[in-house]
Amino acid sequence: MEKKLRGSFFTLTTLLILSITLTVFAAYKSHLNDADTVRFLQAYPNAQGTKADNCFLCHTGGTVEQKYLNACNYCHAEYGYKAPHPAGSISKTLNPFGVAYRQAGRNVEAFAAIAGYDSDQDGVSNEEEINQACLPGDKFDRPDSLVSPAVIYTREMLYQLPRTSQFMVVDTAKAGDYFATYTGVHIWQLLQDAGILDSATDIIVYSVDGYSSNFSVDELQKSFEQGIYVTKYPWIKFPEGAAPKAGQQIPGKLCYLLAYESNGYPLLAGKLVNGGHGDKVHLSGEGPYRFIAPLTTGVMPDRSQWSMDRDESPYPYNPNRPVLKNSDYCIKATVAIQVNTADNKSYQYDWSNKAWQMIEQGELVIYGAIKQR
Amino acid sequence: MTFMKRYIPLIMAAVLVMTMFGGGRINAAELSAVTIKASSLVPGETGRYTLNFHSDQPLRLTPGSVINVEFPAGFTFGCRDIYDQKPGCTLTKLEFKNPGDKHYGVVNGEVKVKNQASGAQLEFTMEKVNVVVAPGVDIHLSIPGITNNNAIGSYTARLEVRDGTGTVFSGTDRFVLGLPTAATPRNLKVTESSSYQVSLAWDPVPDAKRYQILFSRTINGEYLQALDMTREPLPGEEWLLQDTKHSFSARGNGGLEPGRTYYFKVRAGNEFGFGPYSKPLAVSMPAVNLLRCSPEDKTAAEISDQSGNHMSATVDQPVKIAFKERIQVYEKVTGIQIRDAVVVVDPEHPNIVRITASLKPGKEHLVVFYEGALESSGQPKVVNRMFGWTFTTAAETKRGN
Repeated sequence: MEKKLRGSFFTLTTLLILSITLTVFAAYKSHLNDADTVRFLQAYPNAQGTKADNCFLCHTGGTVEQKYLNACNYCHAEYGYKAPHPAGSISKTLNPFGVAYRQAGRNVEAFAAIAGYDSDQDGVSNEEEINQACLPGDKFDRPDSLVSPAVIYTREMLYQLPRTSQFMVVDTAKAGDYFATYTGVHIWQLLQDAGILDSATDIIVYSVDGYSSNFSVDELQKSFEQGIYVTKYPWIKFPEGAAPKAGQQIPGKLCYLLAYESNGYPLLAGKLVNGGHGDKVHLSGEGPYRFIAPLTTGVMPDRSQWSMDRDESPYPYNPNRPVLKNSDYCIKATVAIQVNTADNKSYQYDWSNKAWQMIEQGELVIYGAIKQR
Repeated sequence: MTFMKRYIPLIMAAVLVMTMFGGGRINAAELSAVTIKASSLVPGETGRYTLNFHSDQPLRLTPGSVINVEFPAGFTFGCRDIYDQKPGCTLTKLEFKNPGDKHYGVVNGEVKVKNQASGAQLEFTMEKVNVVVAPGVDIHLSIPGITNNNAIGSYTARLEVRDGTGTVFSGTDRFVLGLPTAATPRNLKVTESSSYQVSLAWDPVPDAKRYQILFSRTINGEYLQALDMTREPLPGEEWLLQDTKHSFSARGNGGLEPGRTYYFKVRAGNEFGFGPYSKPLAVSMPAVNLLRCSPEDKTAAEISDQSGNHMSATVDQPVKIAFKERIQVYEKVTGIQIRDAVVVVDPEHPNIVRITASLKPGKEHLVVFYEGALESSGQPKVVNRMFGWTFTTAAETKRGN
């Protein structure tokens, strides 16, 4: 994203993408200017940058094809990216607070109208929860909720864990594809170091800008076949002096990483800047840590969605092939990893108000279904 | 009797058409304003056709709604696996924007083709859709991978839509295949506007109605159209460059890179397609380059004094610091970022960037200048590629002595 919209804040009809101003909120950058986000911050200006200033204020995760998806992934799985959107799909993704907001008129006044409600029936009013940076649509999240076990990793701690490097392709939708060598910690080893419980089923990985995606622990333990190394397609960048020869199969296998280096250099810390595609706010810099998801099938990256010849061969832009563009799941400026179990997707550890500070200091928190230290 | 003689053939023809496309249904309706556009209308070339149409009645599109397209003899539909480098009409799609919609809706589906001596037929069966397209809304059926007949001339394509209610809509359009401009653009000039942008100009070609510029990273590699977009192309949109100059920075394809060499070529076109390319012209994107560093790469060096540890990068031109946060010093083994680094351009030698920081003794360090950290003083937006080096501080510093 780079290239993609991946989260949503109450996108009932057509508010999914585009139109981003320079105003910087915590809500995921592709939804910064969603009308509902703006209305919420008009009603609760002090909530800016808190946990409530995110898609999951109104949206919830859910299960699709027997797989749990977090709020961002669930919304896009049900609602899709492009019209025509399935009838009633957005309603399925709303939590009780989102439902109440819509029923109250879906405007600034609606937030005031439902302020005294207790939408999630956790014994605390919506207003009180928002004022205390809690989620009024999640009954497991209330001001007196127990804080989950957590481990805060620094660069020094991460560098002490076994180091893994992999030369790989990053397939994007809009921004151009590229090969790079990412170095870091195998994510499964990191989770084991953090004391992941046997009951853990999935993790949610959060970027500093609020974007998130979730992954099952089963897939995190898998490795994947590499593809062919190519240098002749101008939409694919490659590092100078890469070890594989052009046209050859890349040796080795790919795994999920928490990367701290790219092509031998530490990842530059992420920062929101203006001037990306469409002159919009975008996250510049990948670091200090980037969650790296491999392309699960060794296919050739296709042309950019935003290029004039996207429909031409070879390898026209192809949103329909059954391999996800891994760039959407390579999460820049990763600050938090929440470990879930089958029956608890609401572990509490509020990193939202210090996310940028964590980027500055090179910190990452893993919390949730891990052993208490 | 005369009346019968005159109209019986027409009635029979109508019945035949309805049998072919509508199973003899009586609820057939005309599609209005069917028009055909193609990325190439040159005989023998392969390209993308876009059939634009609308209906005066609502079109209810549901899973199983079908569009049939028929092209005359000599045309073929290329349809390969979705992973193939030339998947062709496998990627056929329907796009429209109902009143009030912000973006185009896209409908995908299953594609079947028949390439026969009598003509080529494509059947597009929609999947995962449940929508009513309002009357009068432009609908675009995009079909890549159509290879044209080898002969110039006028041809007719037929289009039939069977929507979710069983209503059949049909229409036709004529299009012409012809020869492109024969001449090649001459005197192509490519100049670097910055590390990320080039400017191109060439002499006009008589009879040319448009031009197309392509670029590649290797002279014999694949070439892409050198057009920057800040949005997704519209359905069937083609590049209509009528000027003989152009500026380009490759945004949608990841961007041009400082210090890299690219190859550009241009061709002239008319309403049918494009003529031959000019010879590729190489251009190297200007960059601020590292000449030497201190301490030297992979050395153990004594570089400290009372004010701290000193490092410097000497580059090939006077510079200013564009983004200070893109110049960093790290402890190599631990990855710890050195936070108190002071970075300045030497006022007497503006091609030297000096860094002062407090570094631990006996440790390997890494200095990194990320891309865009430095900007040329004399050439705006000419910046450095990423570079860096390592060195080890002396086991004992003299700081504080």
